[in-house]
Amino acid sequence: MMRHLCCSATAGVLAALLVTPSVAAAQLDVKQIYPAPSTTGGANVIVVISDGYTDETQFDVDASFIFVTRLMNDAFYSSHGASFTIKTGYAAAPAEGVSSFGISTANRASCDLAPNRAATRTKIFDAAAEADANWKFAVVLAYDSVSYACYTNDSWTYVTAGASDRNGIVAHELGHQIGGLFDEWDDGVSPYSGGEVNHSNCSTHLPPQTPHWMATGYTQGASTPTNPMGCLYSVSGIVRPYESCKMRNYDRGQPFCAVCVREMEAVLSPPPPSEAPTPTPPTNLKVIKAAFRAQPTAAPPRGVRLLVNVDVSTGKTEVVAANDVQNPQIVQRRIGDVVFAIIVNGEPIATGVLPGDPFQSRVYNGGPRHSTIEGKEATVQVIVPRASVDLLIASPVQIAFYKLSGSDPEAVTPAKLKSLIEADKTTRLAVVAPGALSASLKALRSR
Amino acid sequence: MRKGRRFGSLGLAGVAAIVAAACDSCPGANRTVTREPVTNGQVTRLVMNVTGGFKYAYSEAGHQLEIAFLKDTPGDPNKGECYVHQLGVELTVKEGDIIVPAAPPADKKFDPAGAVITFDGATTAKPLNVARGTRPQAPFQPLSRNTDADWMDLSWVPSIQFFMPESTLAENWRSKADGRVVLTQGTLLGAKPSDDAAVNGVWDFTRKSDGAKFRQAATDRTVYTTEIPGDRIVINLANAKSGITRIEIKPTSTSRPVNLLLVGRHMEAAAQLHVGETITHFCAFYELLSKVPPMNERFLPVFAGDPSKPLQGQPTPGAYCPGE
Repeated sequence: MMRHLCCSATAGVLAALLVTPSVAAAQLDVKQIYPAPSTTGGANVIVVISDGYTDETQFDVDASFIFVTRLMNDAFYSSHGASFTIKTGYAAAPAEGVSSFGISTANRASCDLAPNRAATRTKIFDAAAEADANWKFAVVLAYDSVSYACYTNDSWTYVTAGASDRNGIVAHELGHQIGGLFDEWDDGVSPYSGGEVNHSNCSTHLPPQTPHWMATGYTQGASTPTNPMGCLYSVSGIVRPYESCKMRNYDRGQPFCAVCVREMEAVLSPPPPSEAPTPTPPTNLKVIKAAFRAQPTAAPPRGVRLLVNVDVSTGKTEVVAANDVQNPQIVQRRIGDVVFAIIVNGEPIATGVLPGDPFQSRVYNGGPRHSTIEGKEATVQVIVPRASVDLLIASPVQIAFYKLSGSDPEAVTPAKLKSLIEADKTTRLAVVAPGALSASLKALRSR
Repeated sequence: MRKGRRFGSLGLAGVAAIVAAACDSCPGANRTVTREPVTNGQVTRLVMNVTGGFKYAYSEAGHQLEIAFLKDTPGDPNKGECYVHQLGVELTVKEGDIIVPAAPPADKKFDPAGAVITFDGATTAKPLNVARGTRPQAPFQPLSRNTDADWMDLSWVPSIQFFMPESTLAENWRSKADGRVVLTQGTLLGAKPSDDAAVNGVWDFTRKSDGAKFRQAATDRTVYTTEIPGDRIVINLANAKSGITRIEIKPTSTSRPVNLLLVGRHMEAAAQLHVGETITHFCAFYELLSKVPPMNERFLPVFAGDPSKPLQGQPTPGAYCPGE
């Protein structure tokens, strides 16, 4: 039997950490389903939130089957099992099949699931935080027998109970969410007509150029990539690393190729980031000084995880959630072309690379192939290492988002980012202006 | 109720539902049960979700319904022949504790290819309910389509006998299948399609030779439920190519069913099917008829979209083309 880690038991601890109070209609019943409840799991916490269920036992059965029996027996997830913790959060829906998050099924084909995106994502993120303050990947499991899954550009994945009929769907979908991986489908007809792509598992660098993965090498004994033509739904003009991969064929036990494995591992187990010195906290804030003093040196590293909505068409940003987290992991390897920089006094002190293309949504809609929906908006996770929400409220911190050009494989450290900016190899997409972050955090706290 | 032929032509056709409970006169009522279960009054509920391109064959005389796994159809598509490559069938235990085999696969998935699957304790002496209405009429789709219950009428599983009432199954049709599940009691209902776009879409089953067509929504999912005496579900798999012969599953509690998934798939289709395009894979079902019609005489589903939204909707039926 699964041990209940009911929210009431952890609420006291979490309340001190959470900035964003739960606005979900009902308290969640939280359970750890992987690994066994009595054991400690990995830092990559997947939170599975119920939606449309009125029978908790049915939700437990569906979640356990899809995320433990199916997902954790996939070759990649099984071999990286120690990296993961999976928790479920159940709250009864108002009626069977009715969403508690304002999710609509009218526009599933385009992964446009929420008529009110902001409200929906806020509810989902709040529920995820209620399930685990250190959540990393949020998934909504909906009571619907149709077989459907979709990774939104708001950093959450939607899966129906009906998706349990097909092996590999969630493993594939989390490939999008964890590693920012592209779909490798080609439609057999269309040549690639988009812009340059040379990250993750697709590349437009055709001979005599070489895809980025040819320069990085492999340590898994995998054969050299053969770079067959066809990726991102296009049959020509773009290549993928290997003939087969779970990002091309999700079913039939197809494993991830070595390149996709490497991209996902970069997120699951990133090396310690290279950072500039942390700014000195203001000396007139006694509470912060006290907080620093109270922090024992042996305590696990902490940081702040921000969820920031970025609109590249307007340059506007909105901080939609924030909370202190333990063991924050920041990725600096070039696993995508969009980076964030934490800037203090005009200097980047921390940088992180967002996996893949965060502005894409990916849809699985019952058939063998997925489709991608391009967007101008995305909600992304920003990690501010060695900080606290209190510190950020009190400090003139700025967050900037850049798109990198070229395909320099070097890790994007603060120093590297500076050099790329100076070399005019970046485009600034959006900024959370100095003072705006503090104001947003205060507003969230008072909500 | 059907009358006449021993086997329904591709299945459920004409079975307006209920096969009576009093089955002393039913042929097959005295068939041997593999093992007499020790029940102590206990029954175990079985739920089996069936998804994919299976062939459903009903025998009123035999008081049984068979869910058959299709073999490859090796015609040459370049010559306009029927070609369908089957990817296989999976039988997965979604809910329940597997007792036999003692070391089950971690993903609880079995390969039943080649097997004749029966359930210990299932009997022809109990009702076999296969609720099928008449061929769908306008608006050709369930009025409400959001739940499994909206699709429970098996008429949403396309039937060749709806299109070709004179057709009959070949006497040796079983030899053309790659295994089957034999149901002798319980209830089989239609369920909501697995493809979200197919939920609101309809299909024109069209015969190329003369343009004749029948319109209807179609589902690729059914749900079978029954109750078996005893504390477990015992599945016999005779002649499975994988070598598995028996699976025993106990429910996780007396209030819970044993829940199985049976999924069959054939080769992948185009990435997206557009309005007006044909699912040619449906041709495979005609290969089991006693008189196999030429391709241009077969009614094949042409996607007609969502009637409420002109020229929209793009289902991707792919490997799970609506079942027959």
